[in-house]
Amino acid sequence: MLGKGGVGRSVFSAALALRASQRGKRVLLLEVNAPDEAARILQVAPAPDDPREVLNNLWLCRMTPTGAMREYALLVLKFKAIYHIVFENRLVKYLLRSIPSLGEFTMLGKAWYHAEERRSDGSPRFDLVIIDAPATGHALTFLSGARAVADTVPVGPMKAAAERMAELIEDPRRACFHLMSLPEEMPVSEARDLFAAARDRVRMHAGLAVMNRVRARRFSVQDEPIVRALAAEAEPALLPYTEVAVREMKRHAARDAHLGRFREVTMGPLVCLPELPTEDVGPEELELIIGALDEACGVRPELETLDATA
Amino acid sequence: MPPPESLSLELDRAKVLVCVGAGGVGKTTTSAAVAMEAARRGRRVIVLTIDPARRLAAALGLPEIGNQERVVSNESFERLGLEPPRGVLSAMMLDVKTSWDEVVMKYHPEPEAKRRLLENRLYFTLSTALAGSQEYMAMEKLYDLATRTEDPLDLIVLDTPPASQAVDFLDAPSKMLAALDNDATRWLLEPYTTAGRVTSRLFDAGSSFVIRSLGRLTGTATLEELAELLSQFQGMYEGFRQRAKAVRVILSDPSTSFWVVAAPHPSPIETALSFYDRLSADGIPVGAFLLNRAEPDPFEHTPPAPELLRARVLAVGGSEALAERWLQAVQSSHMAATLERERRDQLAAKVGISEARPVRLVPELPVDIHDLAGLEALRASIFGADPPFGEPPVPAFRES
Repeated sequence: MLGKGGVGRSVFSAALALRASQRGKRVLLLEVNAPDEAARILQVAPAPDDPREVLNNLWLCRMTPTGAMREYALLVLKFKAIYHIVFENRLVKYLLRSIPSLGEFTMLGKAWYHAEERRSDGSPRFDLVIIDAPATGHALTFLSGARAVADTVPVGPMKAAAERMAELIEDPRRACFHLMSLPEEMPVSEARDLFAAARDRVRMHAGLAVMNRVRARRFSVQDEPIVRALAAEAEPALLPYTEVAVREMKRHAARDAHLGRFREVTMGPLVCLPELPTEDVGPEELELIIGALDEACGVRPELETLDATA
Repeated sequence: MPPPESLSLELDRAKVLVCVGAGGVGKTTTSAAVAMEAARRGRRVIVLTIDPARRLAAALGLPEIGNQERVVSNESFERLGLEPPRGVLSAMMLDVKTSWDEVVMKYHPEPEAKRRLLENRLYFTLSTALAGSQEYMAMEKLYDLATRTEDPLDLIVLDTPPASQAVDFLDAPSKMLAALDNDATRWLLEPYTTAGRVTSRLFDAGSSFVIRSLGRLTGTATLEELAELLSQFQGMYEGFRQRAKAVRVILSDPSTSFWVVAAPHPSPIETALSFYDRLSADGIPVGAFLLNRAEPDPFEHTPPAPELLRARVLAVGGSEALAERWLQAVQSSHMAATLERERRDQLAAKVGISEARPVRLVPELPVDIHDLAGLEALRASIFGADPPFGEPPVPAFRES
């Protein structure tokens, strides 16, 4: 889930995860962006560093660079005792912090690990892994992490793992990015750049294009001549009304223009989310979002796109 | 109740003005509009922006903004029928990579190490990806600009990277320095002779179990490259530290003013308060709070007249339903404006409003800002009059 800071990625990720789990998919939601945000929205206990089933078929897991690094290290080093000797060492702590992108890389590694994870009967542990990615710049660092490590790090275990991660990211049958924005100038400009970067630089397949906070139209096209007629009369006592109406119509036009610029570059189905009455998102608001998601996705074809993202 | 001029007084007082705030509240555009006001008031001012905002360049009438300063010409104003400022307005964008290169070129004491540093494969990622790198470079630029003697500046307006928690901007540079230079690196880089050549401890044949285990994770070659990079930075740390200290002095100076940019909504206000707390903890006062994109109150100057509207809508051929929707739209606009004023007053009460610390609602502009005229409109909106605090805009009659 990609997008600029503050466009509502966490809320949409939670809604998406909930919807997919309701449809019987085994879903893991990985929180990179805002720890505990999804737990708050879904009204469940905050997620631990290991996936925990918080609702039927819905697992939640917080991802931090330190936590992911620890898991990766345990995987490679095999023994906890060795891990402690190595990782409690100040020098090591320091070195790990200073290797560029290592934090992002291990988090990506964790996502990859869970995406490939199998149960004892050989079936996948999760059908869908959703990553609530960090904001724009960090998201690109995060997603390019695998390629960056594969290309810059000399031969070693990290390079090998990085290449397999990059393969997953670049495989259109297994991975895609959803891009979220707001119908405003800057967020759309940034979304356009982000789309190009995710597709061309990260070489990832594009999924949904999500536009948040799309205000409902208050004045229809048919209303406009009447509004304009009254505005032209310039009756002083009606100024509060004509000003608001003209402003609303300008906002509609601006919103449509921004939506147009968003659609110019993005591909895949468009999901328009309504402006929510409150910032405090709970079950009711999630239902609204899920409604919009279902509506935008028609009967099912788009959810099939989601389904492809195992 | 602060007079409208208090914001301008705060601006006149400042030699450095730092705009802080969460992302998405119009911080970059606000920084530019504030700089424009200072130029209008006759000062030589530069706005240093962090965002790669091509739109800001357009708004300033510049072909582009890069790591080099660009002056907004008088013709750019005149073309749009605007009066040019009495002072001079210029803009510069922080390019982190280029800035790193400049700092290395300018301050690195050893030519050979400098060359190898710039060529190191990890240098590029380190210089751009290291946490705090952007904030650190903003400080280096601020130092550069504040100490420049040729064409000296009266005011530097600094647009900081968006931060959601506290003022990362203040902490990030020291964190970044600590990451480059600490006991661990000093131990690691202490010259050590093996087989006749000076090397770092890391590559000592007897290198510890710890390092070897770590090598299994990352590959030893990565560690070697990293150690080499850190060794090439040697000799620059003292300069880094001195300039960071000098910038801290500038930022704590009474002539530096921090303006918190937010929006009149719960979470941006919460963020604004966390900025306020963090700055206060450092003994730095906040110069102003700007709450952008406020809803203009339709009933600010004119009382409601629902029956007249209903009658007129029907008279020009509109429906009853349209009149109803129209009334609702205006009512919800009025309610939003009222709510935003209450939020502003609550914020003002929390931070202790005074003339020196205006808390101002900046009404949303009807248009996007894409040229100097739009920026001029925003400037006028910020520095225009604000309704008095704690009072409704007009003692209008209440709707039954």
